[in-house]
Amino acid sequence: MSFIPSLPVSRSLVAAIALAIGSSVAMGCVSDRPSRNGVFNENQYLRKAFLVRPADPGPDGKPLEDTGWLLKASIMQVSTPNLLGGAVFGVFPGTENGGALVRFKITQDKLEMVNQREFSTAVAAENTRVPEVMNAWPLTNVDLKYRVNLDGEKTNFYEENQELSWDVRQWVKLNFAKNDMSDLAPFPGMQDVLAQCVDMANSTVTLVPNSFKVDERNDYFEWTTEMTFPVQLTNQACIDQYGLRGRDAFNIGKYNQTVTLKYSMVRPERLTAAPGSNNLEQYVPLEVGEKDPIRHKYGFFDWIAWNRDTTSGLVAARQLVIRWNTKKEFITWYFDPGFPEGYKKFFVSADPNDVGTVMGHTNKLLADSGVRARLRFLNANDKDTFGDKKLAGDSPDNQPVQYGDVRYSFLRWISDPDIQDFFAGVTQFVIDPRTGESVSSSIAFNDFAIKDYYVQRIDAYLQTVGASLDVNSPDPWKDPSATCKDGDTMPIVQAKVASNHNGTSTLYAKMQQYLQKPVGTFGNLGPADFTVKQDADFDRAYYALLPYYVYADPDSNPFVLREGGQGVYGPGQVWKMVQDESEFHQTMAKIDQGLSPYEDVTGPHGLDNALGFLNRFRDLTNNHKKLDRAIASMIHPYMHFDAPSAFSFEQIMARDARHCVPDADGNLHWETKEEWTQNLIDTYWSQVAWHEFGHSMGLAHNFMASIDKPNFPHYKDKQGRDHTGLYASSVMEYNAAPDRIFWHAGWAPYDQGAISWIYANDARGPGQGDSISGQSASKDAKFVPPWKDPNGFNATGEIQYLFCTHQHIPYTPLCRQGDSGTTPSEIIANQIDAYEWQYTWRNFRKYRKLWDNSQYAAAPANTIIDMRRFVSMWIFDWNSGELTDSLRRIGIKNPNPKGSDLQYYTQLSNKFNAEASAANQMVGAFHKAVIQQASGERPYRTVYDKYYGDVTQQGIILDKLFAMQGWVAMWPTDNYDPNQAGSYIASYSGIGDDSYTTVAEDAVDSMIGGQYDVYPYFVPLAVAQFAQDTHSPSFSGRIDVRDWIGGHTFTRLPDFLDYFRDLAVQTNAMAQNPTLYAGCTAVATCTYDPRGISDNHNEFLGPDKRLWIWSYVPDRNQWVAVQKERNTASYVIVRNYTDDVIAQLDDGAHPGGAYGALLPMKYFLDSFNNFN
Amino acid sequence: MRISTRLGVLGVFFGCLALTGTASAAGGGGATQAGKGSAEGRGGAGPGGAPGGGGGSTSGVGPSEGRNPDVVRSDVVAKKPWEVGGTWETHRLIRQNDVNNSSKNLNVLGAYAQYDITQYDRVKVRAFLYQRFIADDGETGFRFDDMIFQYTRTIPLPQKFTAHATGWVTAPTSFASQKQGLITAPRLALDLSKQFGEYVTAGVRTSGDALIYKYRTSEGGNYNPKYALRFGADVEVVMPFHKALSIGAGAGTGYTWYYEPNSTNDPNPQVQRLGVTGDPYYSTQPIGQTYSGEIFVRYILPNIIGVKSDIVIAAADGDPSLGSVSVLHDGVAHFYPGYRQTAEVYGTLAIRY
Repeated sequence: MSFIPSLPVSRSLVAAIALAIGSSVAMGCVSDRPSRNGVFNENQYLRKAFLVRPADPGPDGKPLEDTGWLLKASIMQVSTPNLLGGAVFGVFPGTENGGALVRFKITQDKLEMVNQREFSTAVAAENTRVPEVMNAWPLTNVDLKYRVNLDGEKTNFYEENQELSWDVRQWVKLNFAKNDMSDLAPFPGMQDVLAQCVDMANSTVTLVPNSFKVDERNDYFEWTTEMTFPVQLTNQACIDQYGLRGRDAFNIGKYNQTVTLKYSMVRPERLTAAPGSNNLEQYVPLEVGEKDPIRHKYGFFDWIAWNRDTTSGLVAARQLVIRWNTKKEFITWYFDPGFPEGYKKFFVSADPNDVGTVMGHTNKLLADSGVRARLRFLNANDKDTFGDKKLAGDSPDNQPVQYGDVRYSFLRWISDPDIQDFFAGVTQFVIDPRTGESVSSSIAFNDFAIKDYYVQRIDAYLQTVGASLDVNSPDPWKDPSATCKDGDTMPIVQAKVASNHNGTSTLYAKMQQYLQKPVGTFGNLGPADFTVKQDADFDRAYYALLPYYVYADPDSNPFVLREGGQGVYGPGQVWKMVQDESEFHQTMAKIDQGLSPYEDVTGPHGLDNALGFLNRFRDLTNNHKKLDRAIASMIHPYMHFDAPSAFSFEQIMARDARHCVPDADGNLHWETKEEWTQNLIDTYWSQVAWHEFGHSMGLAHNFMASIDKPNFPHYKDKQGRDHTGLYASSVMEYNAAPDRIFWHAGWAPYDQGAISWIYANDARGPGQGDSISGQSASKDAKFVPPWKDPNGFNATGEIQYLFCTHQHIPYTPLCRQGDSGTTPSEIIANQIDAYEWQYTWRNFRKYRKLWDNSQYAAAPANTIIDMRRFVSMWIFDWNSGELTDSLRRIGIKNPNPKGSDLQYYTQLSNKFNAEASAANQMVGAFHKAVIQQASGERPYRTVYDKYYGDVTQQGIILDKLFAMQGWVAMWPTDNYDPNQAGSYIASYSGIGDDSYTTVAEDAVDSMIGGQYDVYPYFVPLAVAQFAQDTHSPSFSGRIDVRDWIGGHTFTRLPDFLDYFRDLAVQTNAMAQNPTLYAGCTAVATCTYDPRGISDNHNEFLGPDKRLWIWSYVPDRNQWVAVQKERNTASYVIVRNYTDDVIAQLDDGAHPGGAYGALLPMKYFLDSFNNFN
Repeated sequence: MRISTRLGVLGVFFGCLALTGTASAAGGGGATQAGKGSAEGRGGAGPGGAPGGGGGSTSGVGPSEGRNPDVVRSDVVAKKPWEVGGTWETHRLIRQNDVNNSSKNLNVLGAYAQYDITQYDRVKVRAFLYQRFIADDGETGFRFDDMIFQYTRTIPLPQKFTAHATGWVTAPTSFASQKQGLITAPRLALDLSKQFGEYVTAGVRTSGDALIYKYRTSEGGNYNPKYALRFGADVEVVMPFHKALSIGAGAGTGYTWYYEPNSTNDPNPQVQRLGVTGDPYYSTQPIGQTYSGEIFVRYILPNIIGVKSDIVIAAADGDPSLGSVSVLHDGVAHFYPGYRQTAEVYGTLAIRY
């Protein structure tokens, strides 16, 4: 029985259902109220599972090892003046660590950054291995939760939680504040040297606010710390390294250095097993054998993956080429905000195929290589194409990319003049140490005072020869009436300048005299006039031989440690070298200030002291020579600096020109002064840009590119005229050619070959080569070279490029930085030109407010050290026998099939000899000319303003000192083929042809026995050096040269007389002249006395028919006798004395009267007798 | 009409609200109200359950709404379609010297008005006022509870069974509801009762609640309940020797589901940035389960010029007016009759016209 009305029930149900549905819908709209924050937002938290991630499952299902993090540490900002911006410390905005593979280890109180790289695999069961901790930060292990009340109900109070054991808590709270410099751990070399010069105990580190950023979705995080460290003011070596910026800092009382340091980390890609991998973008390492011949042809950066062979237990290594992953679609570069808009055109233009841009030309090479990737350049706020500005920053996923981010490659412009001035450009990498892949890269351009550095110097020089460019004048240049055509040039400096230049140079005038081409007969000549104009035969043989004259520094070889070699360039040694460099400059300062570098010049210990100084000086000079290389190789191994001085252009006055350029409407006109100046600067930076980008593509420096004339790039103007685009086969050269500026931008032939080789190969092929580079010189079409070399061959076969790089410089004379010219004589001539050009700038204050000559000694030292290097080549490889042998072995043939090869080799040898002789004669003449500069020409004393004390002219005593030691001293052959070690070379003994010998001996003779303007201690140094080295058992060649400073000293008059009477007896002189030699059948009866037959200069013809000169040294009660022909230098000294004192013909050359003239006799004979 | 009992079924709902109330204000003692002595239970969010077990949910027990004492009296009164009434309750914890339970006494004032649209359809509005004897300086100790707007359908069934279907919504007039961000709390309830002979009445009931909030959490940080489901049973026996006097007992249990903390949508930027660690002990928000029970004595006062009244003296455990009782939260606390913070005696005076 039911009495329930149906309709009301139905309504109720409907209402109930409606209420239920409505409620459910309404509940779905419930919002989340912001939780109550119990977590300090200034705390820095990281999820452990993010930091230390059990990696992806391996093939067996077990987790693979943590791939770790790829770390890039970058110095982002530096306080100014930057004391630590020099080459030794390398602290500037943009210093990077080169990448490191790390992982994290979490303890109860520290977050440890652990080096992921292990040398070998340890046996886990033995438990003997613990990973290296690179850096660590204090932490607290926490969980971050909503609070749960005791009933287990979750509230929305967000808080740290510690109820679980520390090791299972899921977050770490980091504390970045420190009082040490351990954050510099990713820069081990830098950290080492900084520790010498900063007060580590008073350093502070704090996190830069809002810099801690975590992007878990993209496996990325970063933070920036601010570090401050007081600099040390008591260590002279440090002060030297602070350089000019140190002085600036002290002037304004800033004794701390503050920097900000960014750590940027991303998880590297997993190295899945290549077989079967579907990852088409997986990077494939390119391994090149230690002695693969291709290393002769192309220079690329090696990443050496060291490890221990699991089978043998021996140390093993793979040499992997550092390069981009071209399996991906793009190699993307970003312009950092602030990069000059006008210079972006170097890299990218509207035409993506424009080979005048880095992008267009490089993409062509990548296409040649057959790879997928292409370069692209974007602004930091571009997403896909240049200028699209799609990364507007209006959402978290739309943020512009930031410099310092390990994932991105940046082009950065630095123009803060107080930051540093030791480089023009630097390229750095983040390298995946497992593969050598360049994950990202950066290029920093340092906008130093280029106008001052170059334009003003040019003008300053030209003022001295009466041809100023008037660059500081508001008046425009006058245009010629004729219109110009594309490709036309007009020398800014007319031919008369060269003549004026030569005519006003006291250096050149003397060289001309010493080289037997007096002005009166030949007119004013310059070094270029002494070069040898070689023919095609010479060129053919020369360029065929040069690849064989490349010698590496054994200490730079990473695989063989010779005796003592391990520590030569170790970090500890580098600082020792820095300290020695400081001593070098302190010693130079003493000399520059007119003080004697050794004590007791004329006293009983004078000789010992002089020799002590000389030998130490020689060591310090050698150290100076090696220091730059040591710094580069040990402290900043993966920073590729290019110093401003590397891009000098000393011949620009004669060889560069005003150009015919189009205006905005395309009408051609001659460059105005402003246009010329601006184009000079722009093209300079253009060259830096291409050079640095070459590094980023994996190219090493090539210091033989300026020699490699057959591969210089050429282009044609619109008139069809041929021009040389660059006087080098590669932009990776530090060439000093004038077209460093106003060059024709683009990869040079060597660069094209090298880049396309790097990217065309993933492995060496099975083919075999027969050329020096291991490719093929064969014309046989079936001959397959081992490497793909898209731009390494032409229609006639393999192109043989010349290549050498840093490790070859010390031992390879033709492997030079900053040189120009293709043959030794051209190189030396240009080097002398450079010295002369720089003299006017280096030695005069000019307009400069601050004139820093504190490192002056480096300039003449570097020039003179470098000059003597061709001597070694001449001795060991360019002597006739070696040349003939070499020419035969490499297959040079007489082009005349009917001619004799041997005869042809003789002809060639003569040409090589002429070349070497010309070069080295110029060197000898240069040394002598420097020494012989009179005070009225180039004062050796530094000149000061009497009242204000400022240096107004730098004296050249240091130039003279280096010239003297460089020429007089005997040097070990540590600058050439290491297989010649143990040999010693004196520039004037046993070398080369007669022409050279004449110049060389004349030079040394003048240094030890001539008269020239120097401090009184100077000549005794030369004599002591000569005496010591010519008496060395290592001295080769003409042993008799040691007698140049020799002679006979007698402490009693009877001994003096008996010496000659014995000579009369021995020569049976009485038979010739019974009167003069009466009784001279025996000494006891002989009455011969040379004093009676001497002229008023104490010269006489001895019983041996030789010309002698004698003198009495009253304060020693000694008699001196010197043979004119044998003791040539001593003769001059004694003759000076007898002229002045005996004949009363004092010419004033020896201040101090008789004493002044007597003194040289003492140290000559002391030196000689000490060793003889 | 039959006599209502202390723990009207509405208390189930209010109890669930109390769970999420401002727990700290009550110090764990102050759950809210049931319609003791009144004709019906009442709604609204009380001062809230205490943290750590004080979430004073209850499953209201006792006879379902509509049990009219008039029926017991058998007074045939001319039926008028409307009625107004009020209640006064006074609660006292049995254990007064306990620590950490500052709210040991509580008064509740209630008022209602109802209208019978038909014989079977009734609409009703109710409001309540608390008086606690603890307050901050400047406070009176009085606070409103939520107002309730309800509709009830009475469904007579054979065999002296009667069913009621009720739906209601609330207006968030209470302090706690405002702190919680409650918009309204719709509810559906169904009860079934049967009279056994002349003196015994028994019933069972269930209800389900969906709570609609602006926010998932209250301002205090606690997470708001999402759903509640209650079950209860009661029995009341009229004394044959004096029909104005009756005794009864009731028991109930209830389940409450809460919103989960949601780190994904948490507007707190710190949470967005860092995320939230999962809790190994409490992977999900626990389901709250409550128990309640009481025994009572009711006495119906004489009808004076149409004004009816009754008084109730009861001993209860789990009265939502005092917060939770015998809470069992996923094993954290255990069933515990006579819990010192909720065991009470109370008296009710209900008047209606």
